[in-house]
Amino acid sequence: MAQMKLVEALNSALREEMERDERVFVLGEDVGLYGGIFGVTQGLYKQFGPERVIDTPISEAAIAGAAVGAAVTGMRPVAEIMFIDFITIAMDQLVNQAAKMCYMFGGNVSVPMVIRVPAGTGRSAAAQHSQSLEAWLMHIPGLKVVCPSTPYDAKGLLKSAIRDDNPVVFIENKITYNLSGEVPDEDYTIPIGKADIKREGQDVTLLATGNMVHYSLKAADELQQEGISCEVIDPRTLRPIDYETIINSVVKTSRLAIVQEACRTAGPGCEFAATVQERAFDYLDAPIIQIAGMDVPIPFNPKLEKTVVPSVEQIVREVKALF
Amino acid sequence: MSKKENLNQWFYETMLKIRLFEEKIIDVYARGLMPGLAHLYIGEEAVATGACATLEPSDYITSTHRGHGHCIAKGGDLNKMMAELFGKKTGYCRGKGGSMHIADTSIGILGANGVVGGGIPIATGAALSSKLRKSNQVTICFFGDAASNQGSFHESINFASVHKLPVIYVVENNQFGISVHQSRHQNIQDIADRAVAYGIEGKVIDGNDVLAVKDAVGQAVAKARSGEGPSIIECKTYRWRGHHEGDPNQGARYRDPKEIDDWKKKCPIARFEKYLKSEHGYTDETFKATRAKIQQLIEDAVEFARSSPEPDLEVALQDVYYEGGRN
Amino acid sequence: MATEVVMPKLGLTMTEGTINKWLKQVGEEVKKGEPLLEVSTDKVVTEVEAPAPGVLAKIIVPEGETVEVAKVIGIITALGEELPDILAPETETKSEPKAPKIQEFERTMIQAPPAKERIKASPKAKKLAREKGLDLSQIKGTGPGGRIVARDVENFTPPATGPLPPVTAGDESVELQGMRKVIAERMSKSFSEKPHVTLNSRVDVSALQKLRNKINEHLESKGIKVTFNDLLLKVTAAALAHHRDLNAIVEGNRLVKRGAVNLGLAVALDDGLVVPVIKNADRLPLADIASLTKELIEKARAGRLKPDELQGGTFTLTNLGMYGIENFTPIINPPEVAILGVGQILKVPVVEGEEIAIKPMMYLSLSFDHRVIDGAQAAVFLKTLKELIEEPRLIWLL
Repeated sequence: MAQMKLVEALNSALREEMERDERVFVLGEDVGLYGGIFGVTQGLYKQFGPERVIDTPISEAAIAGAAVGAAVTGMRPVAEIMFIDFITIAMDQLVNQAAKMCYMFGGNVSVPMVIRVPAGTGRSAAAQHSQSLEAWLMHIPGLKVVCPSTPYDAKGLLKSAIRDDNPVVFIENKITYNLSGEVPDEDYTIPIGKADIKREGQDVTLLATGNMVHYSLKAADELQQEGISCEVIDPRTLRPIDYETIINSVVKTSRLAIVQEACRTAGPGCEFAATVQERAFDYLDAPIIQIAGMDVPIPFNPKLEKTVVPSVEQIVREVKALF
Repeated sequence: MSKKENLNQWFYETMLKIRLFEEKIIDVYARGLMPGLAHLYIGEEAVATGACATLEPSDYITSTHRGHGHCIAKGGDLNKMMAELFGKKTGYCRGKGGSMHIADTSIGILGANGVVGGGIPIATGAALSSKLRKSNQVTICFFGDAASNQGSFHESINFASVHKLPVIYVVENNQFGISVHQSRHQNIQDIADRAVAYGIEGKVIDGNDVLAVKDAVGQAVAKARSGEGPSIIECKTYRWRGHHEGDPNQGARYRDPKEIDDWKKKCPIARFEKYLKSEHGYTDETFKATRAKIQQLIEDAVEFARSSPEPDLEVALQDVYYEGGRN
Repeated sequence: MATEVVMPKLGLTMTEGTINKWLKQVGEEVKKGEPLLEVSTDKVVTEVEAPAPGVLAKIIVPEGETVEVAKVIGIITALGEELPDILAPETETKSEPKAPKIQEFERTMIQAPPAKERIKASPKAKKLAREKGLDLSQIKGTGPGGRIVARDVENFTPPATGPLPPVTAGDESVELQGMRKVIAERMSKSFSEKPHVTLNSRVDVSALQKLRNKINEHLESKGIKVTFNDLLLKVTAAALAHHRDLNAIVEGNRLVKRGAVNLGLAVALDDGLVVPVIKNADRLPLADIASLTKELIEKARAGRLKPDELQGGTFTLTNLGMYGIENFTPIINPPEVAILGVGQILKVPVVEGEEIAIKPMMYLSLSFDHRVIDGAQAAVFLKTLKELIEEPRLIWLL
């Protein structure tokens, strides 16, 4: 076991997969010489050279499209879109092309590609660099959507994503990049589509991804002081969703609070809430609540920014109100 | 000093305003007074200044993430700009936009943009609008070399060409798309060559020569106003600072520091000072006085920004939909 | 003018930095923009440029130390300028934003139009209440907004009384509890669920009485005495073995015709009623029925019946003859499907052929659940029973 930051865990996953499989290559804006603006691809250019670590033009549609083309012709590209906000520019390639090809072509074509997208708030990057657009991607059959919260999960899931034969959107919460955690030295993977119980509890299930997992864990500590035992579940994959783990937890606790940075309307929590009430209605002892980002663009001013996304204190308060 | 009274003095003061504003940001950012990102325009002042010299207040510009210079050259208020960079209530966007999202439609600034190439279709639409309204306005669309690789560039220019829109696409070729040198992101040297593909005129000029910029853009503006359609003016220049103020050692990972020194020798302001001295009898004393005057404006702006209150938290929930305007 | 050198913020994530190396010595001249020191963060090592021209007058933070962003780490003075004694602390106007007036998502529930029967309860609470047969309107909600939640149902003990009837002097007001409460629930459930029909048939018991006397003569030496009731139990069991339709139970949508004939016998107590069960009554010798019945009745009166002696009945017999009742309409003991009421034996004039004879006659009142048994089925059973009572030897034909 080594202690490493999430950004380093991602870096080592990329490095090991590129060493293991020569079909794996990296492309994106500033991923080469510069090492990625968040440092995820640091050192890869030096080790693998400019042909396998490709600095692309600032052309998101072309990056995504090039990855699709490479993937259907035998390569395993890992593309970086600098901010999830810019995935909007790549949407046609991702949604109409990558996600549909296997299906449209009668199952004869696989699109083994990964698109890595940093997301989320916390850095005063304002409205065009701070969004949480996972719901857009969760909505598309044919895509897989992964969203790790710890260095261990990040490495194991990125390896699975690279080895997967389908287009995987890999969402990295930027505020978690510097978070440290234990990561095994040996090769390991974490299956896509499997949730993880980050903390066991009896009274209420908190469902969160990315940085909100850590907020939820902190809130769970505080709530424990008040006699409320929280189970914290990180779905880790947002498509396909591991409902078995989630439903089992809700059956046990009878309460579900979804914590998300994404804004409320038609966000990921709507999907979770709808399905859980459908499948576990008779086990609910309180309404399912969403502790979500407000329905506004992300403001620049740091205090305003903090105001529009959930805080630990807000989670504690809203969960207490369920009892 | 207004453009009409004394254009040379306006050129000098405007470029200096941009330079000193940006230099102040280096300090302000380092002190943690400014949240978010700071993409500085130092070294490229002649482009915004020369281009905006050709515009009327009612004309439009669209800007980029590296937009402070455009905003100042088009007449933006230094206090409101600085306050916005600090995220304060008195800023242009009441603290909600920050450095990358300043707009002032009252003087034709249609907004900086956080998306590379994001402003190009917007400029095209503004030009379409002024054509439809027969308003005789033109639009200058600023963007960098790397934005010319976005689909939005190609789609917009083709559209503007077909419809003969009054828009001037000013490429600030500062040689880098973040860390990637132009030679590594496109296989041409002159982006203006791309004009051929859309049947419009493309010109390459020295972007560090404010007079050359003004002449070339001025001709394109005149052409646009007379209904002859869009042009591409490519201004060759250089970004002295890193991509943003967190870019270590001003981009030493991807460029030779000697290259920066070489370009500093081509400083657009020093060059213009030389011209003013030889052609218009300016002295070091007049430069010094102007510099002191501008520096004071910048200090005042910082003081204004520092002493301004933070926005009220409920501001975060306002303006998701238009509420009739704030100013 | 002295210029502060601060630990610079280098990008979005940096909160502190470490001074690797001062590239200038104290007293050394510096140009603006010239590298002054080297700083490392969690991500990068970078040079910091001199913010002003002059002399590096003071190093406040030495090499190797880590400080927060924006902290003053050194001073540059203009050439010839003295180092100011006191470094004026930053006087930044801290303008805290106003207290948050901001509203988080308002979790106001849609108010249903006022309707008395609308009870706010969680799905889980409703399910629990359903399982326990509890009425939600009796339960007080302690959840948010008075919602009934699972713990309210779990902690609920049904109130001992409903709304009290008005009581005046001389009245005796007693709570229904214990056995009385169970009887009340079972009887009302049976009567409201099962459409009852009662058939009455008058039978001549002279043959059975004679048989009883003969049997008792035989058994006298063994100290066993058979009652008329024991004989009735015996013939009823025999008849039921022949008519399984009535030896049955019904639960929900399912009718189960039992293989064994387990006869319940209603026993009146001072404060209620119990129905001990004689298991496999159709296969027991009469003497065993007699002794078992005697034992069960004694136990019932002493309150010593065991649970299994009260369970598994397939048909019940209830006898009110000793109270002078001729006939009545008994209520079926659920989940059974029929019950036989036995009346008083009376000597009455009976027309026999063209003559009038005096005979001991008795009414049988058979109530049955018309959902699962038709009138004719019940009548045929009653006819068999009548024949067996009037001519007990026919029992051999069954």
